[in-house]
Amino acid sequence: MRYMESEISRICDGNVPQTTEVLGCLLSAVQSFRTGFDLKCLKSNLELRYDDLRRLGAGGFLNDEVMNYFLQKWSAKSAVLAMNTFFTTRFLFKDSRIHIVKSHFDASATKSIAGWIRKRIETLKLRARWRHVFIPIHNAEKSHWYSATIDFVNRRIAVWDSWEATHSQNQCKPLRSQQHVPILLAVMWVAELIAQVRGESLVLANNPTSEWDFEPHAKTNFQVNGADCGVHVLWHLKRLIEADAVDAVLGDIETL
Amino acid sequence: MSEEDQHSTQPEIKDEDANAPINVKVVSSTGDEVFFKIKRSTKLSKLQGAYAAKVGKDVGSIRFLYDGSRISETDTPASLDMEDNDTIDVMVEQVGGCH
Repeated sequence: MRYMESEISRICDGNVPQTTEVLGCLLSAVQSFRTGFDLKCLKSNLELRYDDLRRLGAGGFLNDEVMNYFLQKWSAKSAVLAMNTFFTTRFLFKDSRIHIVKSHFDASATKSIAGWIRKRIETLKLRARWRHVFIPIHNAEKSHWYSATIDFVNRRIAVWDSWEATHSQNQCKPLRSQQHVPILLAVMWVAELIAQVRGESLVLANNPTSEWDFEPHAKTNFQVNGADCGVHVLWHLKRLIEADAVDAVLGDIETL
Repeated sequence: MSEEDQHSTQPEIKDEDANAPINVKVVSSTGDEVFFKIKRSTKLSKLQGAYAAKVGKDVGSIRFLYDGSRISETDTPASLDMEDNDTIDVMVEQVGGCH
């Protein structure tokens, strides 16, 4: 297997402009003798299939399979509890097709969320003193990925969106009418629930003395095209895992 | 039968027939519910196929989750430790790039 990897690297390095084509041929070849192949991670049910891998090419839109694969692979055994892409769709939005945040949450949702969180902590085998929560968010109406983070040490909740226009247009608006305030409020509620799972007590709603910082439009790198928001969201996670903050170093985006 | 009696007899019923069918509720992301009765040893992939056929969707375009975790081809209610009346969430594929 290692020999195969170095051989593929050698071929691709020698023909950089044809890299996409070479890897595409390789994937087609794999596809031709097997209907699907699994990239197992943590002995869990994660798998990527040929159709998902095709999305990794330049200009491809990432789907939930690719996002969830990296969310789980990278946050495993880290200090970051990364939820999967269905978490917000399932619990925080009124309908999977319409991007409107719920304004209230019933008791059965609270119970289900606690179940998802416990299961996720168990699956990821997080470090004992994990400090962050990473929440990927999917906007089905606009086919857009963005994210939210909860930092239990620095007491900070932030929403990260790589779409520059959304950031700039909301800078001059009063806080109440900023676009990501509803999702921020929902994440504040999630933070209270997760604090309970952590055995801590946290009240953020109607509590001006909480000493937490809230940023509905935190500054991060912007995508330079109309395709890379999924990659940016994964990059937010990578920063969080490696540098303890999404905006720790605002450098150029690294190639994944 | 009082409530206490029911509690005390329930575990026995389970032990008697570990393979007794259980009711599973499949809930879509728009809130629609479909009920299935399946044996604890039956692969959930069967249920997934039946559900997809019922709602007229390609099984590859929808995701089945139990407690937020993807259900794999080989999972059964027994392997997932599912209980009677548990819920499986069905989510649709998500794609994002922006505009």
